[in-house]
Amino acid sequence: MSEQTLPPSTSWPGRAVLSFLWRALASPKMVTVLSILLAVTLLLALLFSPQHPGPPASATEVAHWMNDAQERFGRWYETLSALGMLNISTTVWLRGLLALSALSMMVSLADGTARVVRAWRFPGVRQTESFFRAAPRAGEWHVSRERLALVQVLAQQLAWPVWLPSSWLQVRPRREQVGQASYLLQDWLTWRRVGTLLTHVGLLLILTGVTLNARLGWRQEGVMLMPGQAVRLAEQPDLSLRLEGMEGWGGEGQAAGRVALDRSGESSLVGTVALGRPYTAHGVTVYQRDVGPILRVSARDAHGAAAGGRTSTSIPLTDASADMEPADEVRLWFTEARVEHYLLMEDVRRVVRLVLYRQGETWDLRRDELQVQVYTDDPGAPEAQRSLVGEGSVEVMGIAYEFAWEQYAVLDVVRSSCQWLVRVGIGLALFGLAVALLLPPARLWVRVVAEDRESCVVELAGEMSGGPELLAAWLARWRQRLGASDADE
Amino acid sequence: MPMSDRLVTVLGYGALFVATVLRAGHFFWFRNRGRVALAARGSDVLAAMLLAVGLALYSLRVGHWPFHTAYELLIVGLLGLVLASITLLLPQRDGRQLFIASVLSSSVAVYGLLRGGGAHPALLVYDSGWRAAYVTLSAFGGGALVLAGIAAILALGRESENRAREKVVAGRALAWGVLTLSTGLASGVWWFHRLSGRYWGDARWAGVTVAWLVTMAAWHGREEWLGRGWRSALVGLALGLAGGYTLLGLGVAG
Repeated sequence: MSEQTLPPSTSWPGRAVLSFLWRALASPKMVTVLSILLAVTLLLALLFSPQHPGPPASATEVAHWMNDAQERFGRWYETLSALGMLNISTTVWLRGLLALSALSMMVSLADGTARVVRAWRFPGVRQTESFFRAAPRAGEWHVSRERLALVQVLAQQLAWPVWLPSSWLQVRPRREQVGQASYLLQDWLTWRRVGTLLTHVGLLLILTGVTLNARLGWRQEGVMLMPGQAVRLAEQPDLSLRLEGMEGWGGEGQAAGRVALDRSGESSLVGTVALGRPYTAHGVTVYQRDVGPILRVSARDAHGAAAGGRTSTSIPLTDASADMEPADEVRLWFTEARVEHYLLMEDVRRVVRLVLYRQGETWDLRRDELQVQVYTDDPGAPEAQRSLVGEGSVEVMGIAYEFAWEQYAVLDVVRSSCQWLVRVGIGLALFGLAVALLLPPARLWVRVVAEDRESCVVELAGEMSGGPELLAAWLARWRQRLGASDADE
Repeated sequence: MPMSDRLVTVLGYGALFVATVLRAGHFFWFRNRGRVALAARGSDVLAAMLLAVGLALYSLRVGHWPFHTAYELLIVGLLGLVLASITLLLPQRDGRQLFIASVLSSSVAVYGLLRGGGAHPALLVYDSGWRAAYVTLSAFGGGALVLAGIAAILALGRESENRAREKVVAGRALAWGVLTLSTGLASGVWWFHRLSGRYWGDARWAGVTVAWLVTMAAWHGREEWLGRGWRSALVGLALGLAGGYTLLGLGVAG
């Protein structure tokens, strides 16, 4: 045989650096460090709350937040704000941490996939002797022939008894005959690795979906509509949203709205939207954020007399907070921040104050109490006061007031075209976690090394994550079940 | 909470506690005494019956069945954890772990007594089921983390070659903690998404996510996490705090 000279190794100098980076990014230590850093970031966000409400928030919401934050942090507000502590979700370092986490997941996914493929292509059972010898030895048992079948069960159902019912694990062990020796291999570690990889894929899909939704989608928040009203969507002007009507009252979040999404040139799609029950059509989803009461008020002379130049008995009303002409009927919107309204009645020189007292956590117009206070020219205490629950009429100082309730809806409209990625990601991540956590963290080889008519000696080798003492503890329980004794006893 | 159902529920928790202590005592001090084991089993049955009657009375009084408020879901999650610890997670014939179970069950009882059941509003969107899953699973996961933390710290008191049982308990509790906390978090995210189209809610989310991240850190370092004393103590403490924080946060939110 002629001698061959091997060419000198031409290793690229940067290869060592890349290899180091690869190993570092794929290592569990990196995940540990990144997880702790992200946890600390979230704790900082909790410590320095309220945090900035974010870009979709209205100017009023931002103003409210700024007021609260300045009140809470006082002279530290400017410093914390400059450090980004009050708006952590937009800081460069949090985004950097998230990007590094995604990179670490991708590298560890590639690394783990290569390992799984190797394990599949070169399974331990085909390497028999050498692989068996290399594995940590778990001992030799003397087992009666009647119980030998249980050895196979042991390898087949290699599970901690409480992980899952044994009947769930029906995967047969690999078997190979090499010379006189018969080998069985049961390997759950590779399946657990597959589970970990699925979890990583799922988490990456979630991150990708959320990022794409933020980049490609849009939100239009806080659209307040009363029945019959419509609004053109600012981000997609060919679409308009109409509230056709409301069903049920707001008690315990049971009010539902009938909404229609009209696209110019196409028929409108109608659906129901309620708290926790969004409606999707034309690629956008409508969420019901809130509902609230609208009070329809009219007034007339209780004795049927016209006054102040009027020809009818109805008395014109003016909403003091709105820039509008007097009308026979006005509609007043009640919100969490606004529970009182003033009505001006110029013809009869009176002011009516209406206050709605909520009895529970949410609006419930079957129980909530409306208080009607009437003032004359003289400011100070009201001249008269009445209470009303539900709809009806109230007569105060010769004037009958008619009250009827309607509901308005506050809707958020969202376009998120990559929603499916997030759904698939969540499902995959949870499935992968279940596989990685519930399958036993072990592999085991069993070899029959000697046998006679009544008994046989089996040799066991294996490994279990958590250490050899866990494998020993687990096997001890099986040895008891098999009625086996140590071969040298 | 009126006296009748409170009394029955307290008796149920008491019976559960007695059963656990008897079983621990059976293996600690009264080995091979059949009567003690029988008493423990009887106490188990009594506890289950009393708790069922307590829940039924409570349901009759409030007019809905007993998984309607976040508080009830939290208690059910914790109680589920205790029962799972006793029957599934903990290896049999080990008094030390049974002692943990008795501590946990008495903690649930004390928590239940302190919080009471009356002042908690019904869930607004209970019919979606996602929030119920979020609170129950997160409570279960938080409790499992506390259990993992206790087991990890207990392992410190033993020689390294005799830590197998503690490692089994810690490993299993951590595994169930990771799984249930993750599923709980996913349910919470999905529930909030159905409400508003956003994935991220308020401080409760941040609290559960912090616990999840700490658990993930511990899980990825699990190969070595019981290898050295101080590291083990720190991880145990972190898990205990994360679990406690989750439970506290959910309790406040309830």
